[in-house]
Amino acid sequence: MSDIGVEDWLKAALDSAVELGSTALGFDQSEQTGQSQSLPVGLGSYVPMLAPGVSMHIGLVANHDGCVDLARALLGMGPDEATSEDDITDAIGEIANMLGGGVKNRLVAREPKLQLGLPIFIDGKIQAGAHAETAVGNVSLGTIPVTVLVIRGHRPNP
Amino acid sequence: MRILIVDDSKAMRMIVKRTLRQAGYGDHVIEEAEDGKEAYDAIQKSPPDLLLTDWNMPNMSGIELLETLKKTGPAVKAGFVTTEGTPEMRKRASDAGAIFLITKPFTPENFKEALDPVFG
Repeated sequence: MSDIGVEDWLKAALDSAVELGSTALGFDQSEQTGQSQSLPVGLGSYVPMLAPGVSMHIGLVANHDGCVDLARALLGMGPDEATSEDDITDAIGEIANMLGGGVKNRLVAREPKLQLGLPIFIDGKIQAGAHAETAVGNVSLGTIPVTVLVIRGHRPNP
Repeated sequence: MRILIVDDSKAMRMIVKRTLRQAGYGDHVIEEAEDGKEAYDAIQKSPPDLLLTDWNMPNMSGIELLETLKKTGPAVKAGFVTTEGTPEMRKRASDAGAIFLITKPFTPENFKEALDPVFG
């Protein structure tokens, strides 16, 4: 079992999200805005991260308008440019991919065999299993409220 | 010159194209593939001058693509554009023949730094 606690995973994810706000998304200001106790409901993308004894999902969730704005920011589109649902799904998935990459870069020294999977996009409420641990935090990316969450399942060492 | 961009994300392919233009490479012919398998088949028919590939993709990953090309040919100048930037991944990329590895998120300056030596 990894010695990285779920709060450390969340910290890495929140730091990575804020960094993405200014780099990939080009916002002047992004910041952490607190933690939550409950899992969010909304549109989001989740990227799996695996290593021996480690089974994580890192998620990024926003409401529909927030996802549209995030997609436009990533794609360099103006506020009045039309975005398709496919564009939004793709863009949010790519943001989650970069979020996962940032988490990996921050934690790989403690978990050298960490591997990143492919993101999935979900519209709805996530339910963690009875044996899963979760941690949820909030950020503002520019003016867009976004929830960042980590879900740790229990994976036996091979 | 022909540049083949390989990424399963259409959004990211668009961002890479835009960044190539911003870095001064807008005059080159840009082609796209959605995954390593599609790229491999395209390269067999007509090798590009430069391959820019993501790492994690369905069907065939970017690293699998380069490792396969190393065995079968043809020889293609290649680099990664990926979130995977750890020292272990950089070494694996280099061992597979990658000339550079640009990490996401990136800037036009990152592209110029990596590509200027390739294009001379």
